[in-house]
Amino acid sequence: MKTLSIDPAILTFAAAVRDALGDLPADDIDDLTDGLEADLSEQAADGGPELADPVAYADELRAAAGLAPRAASARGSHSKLTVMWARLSRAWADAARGIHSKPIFRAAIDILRALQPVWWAARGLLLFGLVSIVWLMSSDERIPWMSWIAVAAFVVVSVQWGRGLWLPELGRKGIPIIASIVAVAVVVPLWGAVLTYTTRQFAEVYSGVGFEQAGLQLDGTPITNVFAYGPDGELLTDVQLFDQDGNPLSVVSADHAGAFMDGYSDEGYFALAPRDSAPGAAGWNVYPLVTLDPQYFDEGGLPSVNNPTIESTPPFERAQPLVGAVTSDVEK
Amino acid sequence: MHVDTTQLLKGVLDVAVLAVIRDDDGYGYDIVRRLRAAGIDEIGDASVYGTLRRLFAAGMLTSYVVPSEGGPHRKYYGINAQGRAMLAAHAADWNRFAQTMSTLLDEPVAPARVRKIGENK
Repeated sequence: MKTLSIDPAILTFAAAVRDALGDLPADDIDDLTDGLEADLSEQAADGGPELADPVAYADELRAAAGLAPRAASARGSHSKLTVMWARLSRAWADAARGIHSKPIFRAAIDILRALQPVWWAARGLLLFGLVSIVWLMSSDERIPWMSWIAVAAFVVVSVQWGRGLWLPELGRKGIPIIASIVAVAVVVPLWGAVLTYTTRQFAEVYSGVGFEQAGLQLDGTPITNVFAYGPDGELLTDVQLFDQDGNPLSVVSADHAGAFMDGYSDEGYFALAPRDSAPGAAGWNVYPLVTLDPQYFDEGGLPSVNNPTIESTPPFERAQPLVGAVTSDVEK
Repeated sequence: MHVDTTQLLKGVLDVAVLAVIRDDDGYGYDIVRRLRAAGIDEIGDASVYGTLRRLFAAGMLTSYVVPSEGGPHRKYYGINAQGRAMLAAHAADWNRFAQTMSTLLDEPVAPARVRKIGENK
């Protein structure tokens, strides 16, 4: 039998029952009385007992649900604030019911509800992020593999909480809500921490690898070529440079294997190679390095095999001669 | 034999409710009706609704609202894995207890009476 309209007496009775439960949280009232009108209508149609005392009915509901009985004085001692709160929460519940009755909202709520497990898993990740945020902010190390086990544990616990499991009796409702609030609050700081961490990791990975940052540097900027000028200010060629320990002052890293090194300057792509006087691996500290002639680059604009070389262009044709310096013996 | 079964029933109402929705989800009054059909008619409908809410809060039931055109919506309850586990555990307890009582009262053991407690009156 389909009940199209509800007997006003049933509406009144149901409203009175809700009123008698008024001291409970709105969620509890909803849980207890959702569908009550439908149930009562059907019972009446079945010739059920007459609806007598809504307060007794509410007490029976409450007792069977295992909720605390209404304090005898509760009604009289309601402060204005609690009455207002009860009214507010009931209005909220009514609004929620109104939304539920609109198909489009119901569809949206259904989708959100279907996505709930995704949020539970994300919440686990975020909570793990919260406990590791200090580490992320300060550590240079790679993420230890053990932490993935911890991540899995956090996700599992969060999902179980979402399903209402693994929770103490006290806090069955509260703990997941608090966890969700904390998880949302941690999103922005965690994002910052992850960025800090990945930036540092990135810098770590790319420093020490590749000749751009290996070899000679000036205040952290890689040096690609060295030009030496004699005491008379003339450009010197075939200058061999070593440090205090006898290590060659090379513009490439010690394990550089290529026949040339390349990079980009303001003028574009360039490639340098050791001088003919010291070709190959030993020549990287003999300056100035020669430039691979761009005229002979292949169609791709890259050096070809046995690319001819030309002298590199020095920054100055001539430097300031040194006053009082000993010039070459030949001129003496 | 005519004892006041209401008190007896209160202890096992949880199990009775789980048992009548073991195979089919049901809404409030529908579940009351199933209990009555099984012979349990001493329990008020409000007690059944309250019990449903308590079982739901304890994680034994799932619940969903089904709107009806024009009429009031209905709230359906279904049993979940946890509810089934509890039902199975209680059924075993009950069987053992019923057997003990039957032996004590020197009556033949009738396991079929497990879910038909209302017929005892």
